Amino acid sequence: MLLLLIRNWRILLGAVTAFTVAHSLSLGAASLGWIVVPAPPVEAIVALSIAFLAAELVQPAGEEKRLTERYPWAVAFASGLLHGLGFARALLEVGLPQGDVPLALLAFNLGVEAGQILFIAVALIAGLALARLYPSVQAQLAPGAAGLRWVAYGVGALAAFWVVERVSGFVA
Amino acid sequence: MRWSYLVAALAALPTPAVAHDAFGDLGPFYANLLHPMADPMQAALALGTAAFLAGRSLNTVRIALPVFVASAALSYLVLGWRFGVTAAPIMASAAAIAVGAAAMLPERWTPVAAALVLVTGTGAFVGLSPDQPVPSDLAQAIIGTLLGIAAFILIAWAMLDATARHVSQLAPPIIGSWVAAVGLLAGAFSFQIETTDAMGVSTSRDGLSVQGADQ
Repeated sequence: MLLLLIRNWRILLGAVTAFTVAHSLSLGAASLGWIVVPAPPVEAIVALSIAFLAAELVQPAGEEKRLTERYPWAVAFASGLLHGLGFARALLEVGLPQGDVPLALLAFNLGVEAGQILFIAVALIAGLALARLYPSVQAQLAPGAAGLRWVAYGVGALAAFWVVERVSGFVA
Repeated sequence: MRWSYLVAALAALPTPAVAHDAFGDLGPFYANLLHPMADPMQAALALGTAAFLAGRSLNTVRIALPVFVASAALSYLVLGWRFGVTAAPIMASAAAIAVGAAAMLPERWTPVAAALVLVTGTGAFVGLSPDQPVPSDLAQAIIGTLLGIAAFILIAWAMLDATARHVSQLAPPIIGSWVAAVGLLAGAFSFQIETTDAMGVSTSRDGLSVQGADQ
């Protein structure tokens, strides 16, 4: 979503770095037991953060700048904090070796980073390939284009479904 | 001399390694999404098709790529899931040899219609991989399969196309020849006849033990 929202390379790099720093902090704190948050609300808020980014994407690129455009690092940092809590749950499910907690955290974090970089690389290569094959697709994903709004509606609908599903899971 | 110290240090450093499954059950979506990277024959067929398309014009690729993905999705859904059909190893090997050999041919020898027939065939075999995960959630499995195969061939094509344009036009034929060689090897191995002795040990015709019968 950040790839679609932020088109400037430098700002995107900063936002991705902020996301990485934030999720490293919350992942470490949650894994070491400094922050104890029940998993279901965290998962619901993670889904809500995706819905928020989709809502940002739906807004036309007009005179009034979107929150992600005004404060890209802050938005990425807040999202990173939330996602770090989700990663911590996955790490605790795998299990931390009691003797090597810092090393395990570092290794897990490096794995998450590698996964992120790989995903960004794959998304960029796929985007370039689609742009070469179907130039009209690239035009449809330009800021404010109809195709981009459809993508945003699709992601937003899915995220909203996850929010309702996850909230009903711990409220009911 | 420095190397001997390094080797000695590396020999002393390792501690017992404890293997564990880092991912656990990925679920139907991710298992199907990542499957092309875990199944050598599925990957070889997709890579061979990408190499074949990297040697064709953009107009051909624009049609052939969606045809390949649609063929894979339909064969997975209709033949694989609905009727339980799986690709015989010798047939999948023949498809790999065909697409690998076709990747070595110049475009004038492969008209658009022939290219479409070829990618439809390889797509069908890609969708019929024998160890494709059994879908517990059909919708997630279909979306994962479609995305995985589409992303794999799109990225493979993009990399080979870029290599052919900027480095050497020989890249797609070379990859095609590798895929054909993989197909030949897999086809040769598929002829091995297995027998099982009284101890339950499965043995191939050449006498090499290949697996326990309880597996």
